[in-house]
Amino acid sequence: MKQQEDFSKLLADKLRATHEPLVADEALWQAIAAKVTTQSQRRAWPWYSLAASLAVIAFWTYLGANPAQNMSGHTPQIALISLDAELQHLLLTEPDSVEVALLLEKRKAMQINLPGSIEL
Amino acid sequence: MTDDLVRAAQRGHLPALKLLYQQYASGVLRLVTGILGSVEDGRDLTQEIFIKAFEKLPELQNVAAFAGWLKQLSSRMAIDQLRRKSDWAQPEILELIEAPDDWVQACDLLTQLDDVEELLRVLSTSERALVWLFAVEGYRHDELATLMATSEMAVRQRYRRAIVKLKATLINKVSHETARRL
Repeated sequence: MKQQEDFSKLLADKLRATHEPLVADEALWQAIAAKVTTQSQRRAWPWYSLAASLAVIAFWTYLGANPAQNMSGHTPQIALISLDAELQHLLLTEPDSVEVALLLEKRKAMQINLPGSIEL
Repeated sequence: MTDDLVRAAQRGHLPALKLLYQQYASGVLRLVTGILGSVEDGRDLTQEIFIKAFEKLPELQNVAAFAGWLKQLSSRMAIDQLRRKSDWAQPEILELIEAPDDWVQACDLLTQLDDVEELLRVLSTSERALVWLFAVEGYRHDELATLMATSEMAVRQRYRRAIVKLKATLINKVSHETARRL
């Protein structure tokens, strides 16, 4: 029995020595890292989608609760800014002209539909 | 130090995963290559083992047990792979026809042997796995019985049979070579 154990031990030593030079290299790690990254992205994707959906819902809810900031209010606001620029130019060049009077009327009308704008 | 590394790896921190790989991958590669008997298969399985280990890592409660947990996972996956092979079926336990006490001669022959892997080719896949796990990795008979889903007695008998087979092969090989020279 003792001799059999010696044989087993010797066999183990020889096998260990044969396999000792085996080393896990960088190429193997690259393959593992690529797979791990893909898996984690796949796991994270539903959460990103959910977060994006919640953000969209929150944005629309906010717009619904604040009519002054809703999307239809953005176009008149831009138009008002462009009208103000034109008016400012005319006030400097032809302050008493008919165009100035017309633009002032137009601005007044726009201002009624756009609460929060500065009254001239 | 390793515990902190394992905790960071549990959070999916890629540099921590890489450090764990650098620390343990060569050991895993040697273990599974030893069980499977092929470096190519060993590399493929090592890759699968680490992917599986990193996936299951957040479930590990005792981070200090990481090394043992990884070794157990590796052995189990290697045995599962062998089980899927056609020749895994456990061999019948035959009566051992043992020559007179020739273990001393076998030890001498084994010492002189250059290619020990060549000698192991006489074993079946399950015998090879058993020899590797018991002799090289130091698994106990009861642990091997659980791992291989068999009884402890069967493990003992199969191991002894495998060792006797190796001894007989060594002695026969030398007898043939001597006869050829004469």
